[in-house]
Parts: sequence; C-alpha cells; structure tokens
Amino acid sequence: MTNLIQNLGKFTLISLSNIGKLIFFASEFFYWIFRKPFFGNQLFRQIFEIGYLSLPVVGLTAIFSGMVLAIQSYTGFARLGAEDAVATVVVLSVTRELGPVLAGLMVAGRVGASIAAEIGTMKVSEQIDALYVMSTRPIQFLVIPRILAGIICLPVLVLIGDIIGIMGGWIIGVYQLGFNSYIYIDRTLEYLELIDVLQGLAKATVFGFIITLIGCFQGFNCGQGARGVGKATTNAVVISSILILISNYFITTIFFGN
Amino acid sequence: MKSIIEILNLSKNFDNKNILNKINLKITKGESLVIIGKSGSGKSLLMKCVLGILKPSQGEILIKNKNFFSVKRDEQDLILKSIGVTFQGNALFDSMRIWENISFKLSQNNFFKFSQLKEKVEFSLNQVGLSNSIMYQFPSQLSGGMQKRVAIARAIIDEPEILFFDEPTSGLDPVTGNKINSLIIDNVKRLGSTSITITHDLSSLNKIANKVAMINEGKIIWYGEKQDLKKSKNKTLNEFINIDSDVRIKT
Ligand SMILES: Nc1ncnc2c1ncn2[C@@H]1O[C@H](COP(=O)(O)OP(=O)(O)OP(=O)(O)O)[C@@H](O)[C@H]1O
Ligand SMILES: [Mg+2]
Repeated sequence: MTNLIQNLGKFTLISLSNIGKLIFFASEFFYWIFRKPFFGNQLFRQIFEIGYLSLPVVGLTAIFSGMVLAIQSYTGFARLGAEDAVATVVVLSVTRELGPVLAGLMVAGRVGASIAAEIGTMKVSEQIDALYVMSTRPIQFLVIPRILAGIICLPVLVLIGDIIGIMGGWIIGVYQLGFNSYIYIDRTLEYLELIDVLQGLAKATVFGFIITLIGCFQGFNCGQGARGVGKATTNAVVISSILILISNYFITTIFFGN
Repeated sequence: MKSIIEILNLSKNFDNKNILNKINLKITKGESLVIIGKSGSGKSLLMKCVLGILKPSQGEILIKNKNFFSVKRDEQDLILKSIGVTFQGNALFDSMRIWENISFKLSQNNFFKFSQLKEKVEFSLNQVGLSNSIMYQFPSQLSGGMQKRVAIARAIIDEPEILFFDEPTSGLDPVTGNKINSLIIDNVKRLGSTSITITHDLSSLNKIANKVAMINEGKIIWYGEKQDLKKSKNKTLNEFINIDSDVRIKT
C-alpha cells in the first residue's frame, strides 16, 4: 500500500516536472521566434515535409470517412424517415469534427513521430551539440521552422481534407444512395455556416502547434541511444494524440458551448 | 606564457553522481595538449563543459580570459567562432550533403556566394586528403575514415584559433589512423592553432602531443611534457602506457 502511494507520488512529481519543462520549452519558442536569424529555407523544407507529404494520408482518411459517414447517417436516419439530412450531417460532421480531428491524429502519427525521431537521433549523435558550437541555436534552426510549418500546414491540410471528405459523402450519396446531385450539393451548402469551417481551422492551427511542439520537445529530451529515440517517438505520438482530443473538447466548448 | 584556456576547479555531477572532480588545467597558446584516459573517465564530458555545451556544477572556465557562462550571447558567439570541434561520433548532419556540412559554419556567420563557398569547401577537402567528387554525397554514403576527415574539414574551414579533436582515430585501422594523425599535425601547424586532442590511441599521443594530461575517474592524475611521461611513477599512467606497448611488441 505504501508502495502504491510512493509510486503515485513519484509519478505525480515526474509529470509535474515534465509539464513545467514543456511550458518552458513552449515559452522558448515564443521568445526566439521574434529574434534573428530566421531560417527561411528550413521553413520551406518543413512545409514540404509536414504539409505536402501529408496530403495522401489526409486525403485518403478524409474520403473514406466522408463515404462511411454518408452510409451510416443514411441507414440511421432512414429509421426516422429523415434520409434527406444526410448531406447536412456529412458536411457539418466533416468540417466541425472529423476533418480536423482525423487529420490531426493522422499527422500526429506521421509527422510527430518523425520529428521526435529526427531530433532525438540528432541529439544522441551529438549533432545538436555540433549545431550549438557552430553558433547556431538549435531552437531557431530546428524547432521554430517545424512549429511554424505545423501551424501553417495543418489548416491547409484540413481545408483540403474537408473538401475531399464532402466529396466522399457526395459520391456515396449520388452513386449509391440515389440522391440527385444538385439537391445533394444544395443541401450541403444550405446549412453550412462560415463559423463551422472557421472553428475547424482554428482547431487545425492548435493541433499543428501541439503536434510539432510535442515532437520537438520529445526529441530534445530524448534519452540515450536507440532506446531513447524509440521511446521519444512513441511518447510524441501518444501525448500529442491525447492533447489533440483534450484541446478539441475545449475549442468546441469555446465556439459552441452555450 | 599566456594561457588561452583556463579550467579552474571544474566539477560536474549528474544526478548526484560526481563525474568530473575539481579539474584544473591551463592550456597555453600554440601548444598541443593530448588528454588521455580510460573509457568513461570523463574526457568527452570535460570537452563539452569547456565548449559551454554543458554547464559545470562548480568551477570556472576561461577562454581567452572570458568566462563563457557570464558573458553575453554575442560574446559567446565570438568565443565559439574561434573554436573548431570534431566530436567523437563525428556528428555530421546526416540530412545535409558534404558541402553543406563543411560550409555550415561559414554560411551561418557570413554571407558568401555559392561559388565562394564551393571554393572554400574544395580547399578544406583537399587539406584533409579528400577529393572534391564527394561534395554532393551524404555522410551516410562515406566510410568511417572519410567521415572523420569530413569532420576535420568542417572544423578547420574557418581557420579557428583553437581546435578540439575527440578521439579522431577511434574505430580506424592503424594506417588510416596514422594518416589522420598527420592531417591533424599538418593543419594545426598550418593554422598556428592551439589544439586539444582526446584519445586513447598511443600513437596519436606520440605524434601529436607536446603536453599530456591524464584523466582517471574524473580527476587529472598526471600532467606534464610528453618527454616526461617515461619518468612518471604514477601507476595508473604507467599501466595505461605499457599495456599498449606490450601489444605492439607482440604484433
Ligand atoms: N549527459 C549525461 N548524462 C548522464 N551521464 C553522463 C552524461 N554524459 C556523460 N555522462 C557520464 O559521464 C561519464 C564520462 O563520460 P565521457 O563521455 O566523458 O567518457 P569518456 O572519457 O569520453 O569515455 P570514452 O573514451 O568511452 O569516450 C560516463 O560514466 C557517462 O555515463
Ligand atoms: Mg569520449
């Protein structure tokens, strides 16, 4: 019993100290982002890696989610005789929730892991030390371009994902469920408000920040050797996924809470 | 003589474990210090403290009479600019091509045209006996010995006053190791730099050193001129030197 309490206490202390470290790390980002030099070419490289190379994953996730959503809501609403609502349900679910959350989780798996692994490897092989002795701040060279790229790319990815997801719903609606294409599109746009899309993009921006911040943080705090890198990678994915789901709740509350 | 690096009472602990214990060391301008010691004795750690990568738990380090941790960032940059380093594992940036690796320091600190950078990289590559044809390759495409050479080329490109080499010959065959030793001597002489070489390779010690310091369990247990090594009565030092000569006689 005392053992349990001891372990619990230890766990709490370690968690608190890690949260403290993370907050410090995030504040370093905001401090250094306004200071020279700015590594523009690194930013472009990261936009390519984080944004462009995530397109297939996000696109595939979106189209199949949109398709499933159309089938599910059709069969569900058929029991109430409300099949007409399919288009509206698809567009609202995709723009408000599924688009940003699924894209966020997929990118967390793809990008968060690779950032943690790359920076972690650089740390254990002394490349970060080498950067530092060549008068280059690792936070400016490695962290700021990645986080900025995350903040820029995620909303764009989500916007593209939204469109693809809605198209997925439309394909099922028109070719399988027999809706008239014009009516389906009309219904899609009828109840969609700007705030739905904006809320989704706000979420995406926050998720982009979370994924890249946690990836960088785990990389920099990576333990020794290949084991350390492996653990940092896992942690990056798990922690950023959880934070995405938690922040998703809070952002939703802020926008539509009352 | 004027000392370019002064280490005063330096201690470093990790999690209450004492690794470096009250190290005192003066390095004079122009000298060639070799630091020897068993694996895990704290040699690399000492170098990282001197470079300001790790903060000492106690003590002071003066580089050109400036305490690294109490000066402003601009001055830290200036101090770092006068230092070239090769790390134990080379620490080449594996996402960058060889020419980007070698010119990294120059391109961060100054603005050069690509043709100028290329010229300097070619010169640096030639100084370490590598051909220009590897410029566009990645570090992972080179052998261990070539990577060491690239690391040296990267360290010397801006002609630093002080050069650190952490185990420059480890993991290399004796012939290649010997070539690396010569490269270090030639380049240090050409640049007139002060050099600090960490090694457990006795042939490096013989070739490179004029001063020798031995670290054991975080303490300096011997320091002096190379020619005085043989006269030493320190057991740990003698053991360290003689094991190697035994091996050499037999083979
Ligand atoms: N960042 C660190 N955190 C914890 N312990 C460390 C750290 N860096 C070094 N140590 C410990 O300090 C000791 C000395 O390490 P160091 O790398 O300086 O040895 P070394 O003399 O260079 O050995 P080698 O010849 O094998 O390179 C080791 O026991 C190591 O575990
Ligand atoms: Mg070492």
